[in-house]
Amino acid sequence: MVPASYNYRNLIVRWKTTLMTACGFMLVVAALIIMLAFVNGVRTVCAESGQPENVITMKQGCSDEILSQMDKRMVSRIEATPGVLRGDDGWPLASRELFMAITQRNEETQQYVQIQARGMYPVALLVHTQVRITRGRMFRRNHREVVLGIGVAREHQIHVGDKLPMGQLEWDVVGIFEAGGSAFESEAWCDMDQLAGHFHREGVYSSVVLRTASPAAAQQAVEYLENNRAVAVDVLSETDYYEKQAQQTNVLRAGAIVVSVFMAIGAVFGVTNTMFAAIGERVKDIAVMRILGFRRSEILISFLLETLLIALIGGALGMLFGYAINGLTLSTALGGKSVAFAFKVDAPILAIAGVFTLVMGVIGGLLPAMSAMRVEPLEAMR
Amino acid sequence: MSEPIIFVDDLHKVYRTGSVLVRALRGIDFEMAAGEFVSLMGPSGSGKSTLLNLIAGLDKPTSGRVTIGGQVISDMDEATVARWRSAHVGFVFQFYHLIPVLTAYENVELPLLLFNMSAAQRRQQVLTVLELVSLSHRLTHRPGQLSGGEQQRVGIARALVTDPMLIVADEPTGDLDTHTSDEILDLMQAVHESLEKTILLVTHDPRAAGRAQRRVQMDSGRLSVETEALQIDNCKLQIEN
Ligand SMILES: Nc1ncnc2c1ncn2[C@@H]1O[C@H](COP(=O)(O)OP(=O)(O)O)[C@@H](O)[C@H]1O
Ligand SMILES: [Mg+2]
Repeated sequence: MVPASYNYRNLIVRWKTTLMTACGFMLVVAALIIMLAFVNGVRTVCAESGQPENVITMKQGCSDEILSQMDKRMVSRIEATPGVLRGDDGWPLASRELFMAITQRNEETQQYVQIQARGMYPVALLVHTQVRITRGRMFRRNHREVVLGIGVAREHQIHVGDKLPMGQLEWDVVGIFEAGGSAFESEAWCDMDQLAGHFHREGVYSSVVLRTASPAAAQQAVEYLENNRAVAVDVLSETDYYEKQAQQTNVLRAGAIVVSVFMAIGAVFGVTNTMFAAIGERVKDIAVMRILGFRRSEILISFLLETLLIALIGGALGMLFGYAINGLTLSTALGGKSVAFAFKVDAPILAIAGVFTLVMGVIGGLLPAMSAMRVEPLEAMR
Repeated sequence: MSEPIIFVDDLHKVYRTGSVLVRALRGIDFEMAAGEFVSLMGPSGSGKSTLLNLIAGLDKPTSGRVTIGGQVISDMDEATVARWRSAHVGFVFQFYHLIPVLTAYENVELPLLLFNMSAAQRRQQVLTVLELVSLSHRLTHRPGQLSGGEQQRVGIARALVTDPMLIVADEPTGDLDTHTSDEILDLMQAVHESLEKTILLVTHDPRAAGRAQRRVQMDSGRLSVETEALQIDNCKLQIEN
C-alpha cells in the first residue's frame, strides 16, 4: 500500500487548494444538514402534538382547523359519541375550540404580526393532557386573559404581566404554558366566550377534540363518527391529524435532497479538477512508485483516498457548521398555521451527511484516480 | 566469478511513434554473472536505457528473451513482473526521483511497504542502509533539503533496502559534479564489493565506467565491444580519440 502519509503530506503542501476544495464539500454538507434539520424539527413538532387517545373533528371537507366552522347542534352530536371519557362532574371530556389567526398591527414597529388564538373551556386541559402551565396561572372563565405557548412568548418576547393586543382590546397575559414542543406552543389560549364575543363568532366552533380511554377506543370513535350520517365531519385521531400535517414536509425533504444534489455536482467538479491538477504535478511520483513495484490498483486506491480525505475534511467542517443550527428556534407555516419549531440535527441526519460526503468523494475522485492508475512509468520518466 | 544469472537472448526492441519505427535494440546477446559489476556505455540514443529497462523488467521486448535467476521475466504479465521487480531489482535514477513530500527515511522505507514486514523490521532495515550510505544524520530531511549527492545516496539506500540481487543505475552521476560523482561511484563500488551485488551501470562517463569490472559498449542498438576492466586505460584512449 502507498502510505497514507504520502497523501496527507501532499494535501498539507497545497493546503490552500485543499481547503478551497473542501469548502465546496462543507457548503453542500452544511446546507443538507440545515435543510434536513428543518424538516426534522417540524416533524418533531407534529409528532409531539398528537395524542393517540384524542380524536379531532372538523367540518367535513376542511382539512385544517382554520377553515372549519361547526354550529352548536353538530357539536352536541359529536360530544355524544360513545367511548368519550367523562370528567368528575359527569360531562364528556370534549373540548370545543375556536381557532383564529388574528393579524395585528404592532403600533411601535408598524409591522403586522399574526397571533393564533384558541378559545376554549376549562375542560381543554383535561383533553390536552400534555399542556402544563409553567409560569403564572391559567386564564379565568369570562375574563379577558390569555395564556401563551412558550413558542410565541419566546418569539415575540412577551412575559407574564404584559398586555397582548388582539382585536380592539388588550388582553392580560397571565401565564405561559409548555406542551412538549407541540404545535400548541405557538398559540395563545383564552376563554371561548371572550374570544367569540369579541370577534362576533358566538356559536361557531372550529373543532371538537374528544378524549377517549385508549388509542383503540379513539379508533372506534373515529369509525363511529365516519359512519354517522347525522354529523358531517372530518374525523381523525389527533396523531393521524398531525401526521398528515407532517406529510407536507415530505416535499420539503425531497426538495432538500434535490438542492443538495445540484450543489454536490459543483463540489464534485471542484474536487475532480483539483485532483487532476494534483496528479498532473505528481506523475513522476506515480512513475517511481510503479517502478518500485506498486500495482496500478494501489495507485488508484491511494489517489481515491486522497480525494476522500479532502471530502472528509469538508464534510466534517460542514457537519460542524450544520450542527451549530441544532436547537435554533423559528416559526414556519404549516397548513394554515404558523408553528414554532427547533432545528433538530440527529444521528440519522449526520449519517446521511456522512454518506453524502463519501459518495461525493468517490464520484469526484474516481476519474482522476483512474488517470493516475493509467500513468505509464517509462513515458512519465522520459 | 560465479555462474551467470542474467541471460539476454537475441533481444529486439522497436518503438513506434506514429508511422515512424525506431529500432532501439537490434539483436542483443548478453550475460551477467551473479555479483558482477558491468558498465554500459555508448552514445546518446544507442539503446542503453532501453536495454536496462528490459533487463529490469520495466518494459517488454519486441522479440527475444530476458532470463534472470531462472525466470523468464520478459514473458511475465505486468502485475507479476511488478512484484518480481520489487523483490529482485533496485533502481538508481539520474534525477534521484525521490518523493518530495516524504523524508529521507520514508523514501527509503517506501519499497518495503510492498512486503509483509513489521514496522520494527522495516525500521531496522531502513536504518541499516541509511547508515551504509552515511546518511544517519539526515533521516527526517526532505529531498528538497538535501544536496544532489545526498539525494542520490538516499536513492542508493532505497535501491538497497529490499536487498535485491540486481541493482540497475541509469546515469546515476549524470546530474552531479565530478567530486560528488566520485563519491557516488565510490559508494557503488563499496556496495558491490561488500554486499556482492550484481550491478548494471549505464553511463556516459568513461571514468564512471572504469569503476566496473567489465565494460560493455553499445552502438545503434547493438553491442559493439566488450572490454575487460584491466584495459581501462586503452579504452579511455580509444574513446577520447
Ligand atoms: N518510448 C519510446 N518511444 C519511441 N522511441 C523511443 C522510446 N524510448 C526510446 N526511444 C528511442 O530509442 C532509441 C534508444 O533510446 P535509449 O535507450 O533511451 O538510448 P540511450 O539511453 O542510449 O540514450 C532512441 O532513438 C530513442 O529516441
Ligand atoms: Mg538513456
